[in-house]
Amino acid sequence: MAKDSKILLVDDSAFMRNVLKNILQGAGYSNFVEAGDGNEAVEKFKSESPELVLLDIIMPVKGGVEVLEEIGKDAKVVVISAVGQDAVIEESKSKGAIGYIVKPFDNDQVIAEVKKVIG
Amino acid sequence: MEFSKEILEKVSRAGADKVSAAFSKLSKQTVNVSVSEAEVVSLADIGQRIQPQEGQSVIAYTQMIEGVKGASVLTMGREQALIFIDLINERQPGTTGILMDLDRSAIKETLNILSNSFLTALSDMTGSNLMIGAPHMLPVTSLEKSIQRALQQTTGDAIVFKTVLEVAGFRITAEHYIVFSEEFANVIANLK
Repeated sequence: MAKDSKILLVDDSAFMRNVLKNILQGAGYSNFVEAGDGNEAVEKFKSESPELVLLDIIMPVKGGVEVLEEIGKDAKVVVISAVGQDAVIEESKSKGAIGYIVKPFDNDQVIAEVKKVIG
Repeated sequence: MEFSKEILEKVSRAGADKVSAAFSKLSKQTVNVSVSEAEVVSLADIGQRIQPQEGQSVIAYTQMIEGVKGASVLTMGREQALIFIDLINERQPGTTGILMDLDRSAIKETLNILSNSFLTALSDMTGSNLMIGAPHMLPVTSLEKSIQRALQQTTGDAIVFKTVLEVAGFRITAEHYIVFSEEFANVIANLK
């Protein structure tokens, strides 16, 4: 069941979405939905009801912090962002993020965070 | 505006350390910093100062959206960018012959990561919140005007932090620049 859990990958970088998908596929996860900006992320969260959202912070149209303001109470969100500043990490957590990984990351970090949330 | 050379060098060193560590992790190679410098540059000369040395180059660009006006730029020779793409995708160097959309996305993401690595170092030193926007690719002809737009000035001085990264085994040289307006004085006023 856990490996079939739907994961929403939100990043404006198609390259980064691919990297994350490959890492998670290598760990046995197979059910992905993707969004390339914050608006699409909110729409996909509502329409697809993913078990977990992996969310970037710096994106065009709507950033990750704004996405957290909209879905942070209802979604299980792990932020994966290049922004490593304490204020942003704290703000993200205060708005509902349950984990925060700073890019560039180790593959094991991503897998460990995902396992922590959906097994 | 006068800036203490000692302070600029301190910021430059801390930023370059973070930038090179990030570039090394992305390329999965040992990376040397061959240049790490900071200088105050007239905006009239900014294009020349940042212009890539190689004829055909790949340029990724983004601008600051919070903390201080500024921009961040990554330049690589086209051939070197192709090898870099192979390295970050763990492919045999020489596999990529043409930069596709996904490859350009990788270069923009690299700039995102390098810029934020530098800004995190600076934020740790000053307590300032410093945010960039989403990166995009830029033709060399637009570089100077884009930086001037980001700084919202066409005259006066800018503070330029330059880090040159070398992946020795693959002859890759990447130049990373962070350019700030004179408002940078307010940021380093809080230097710890």
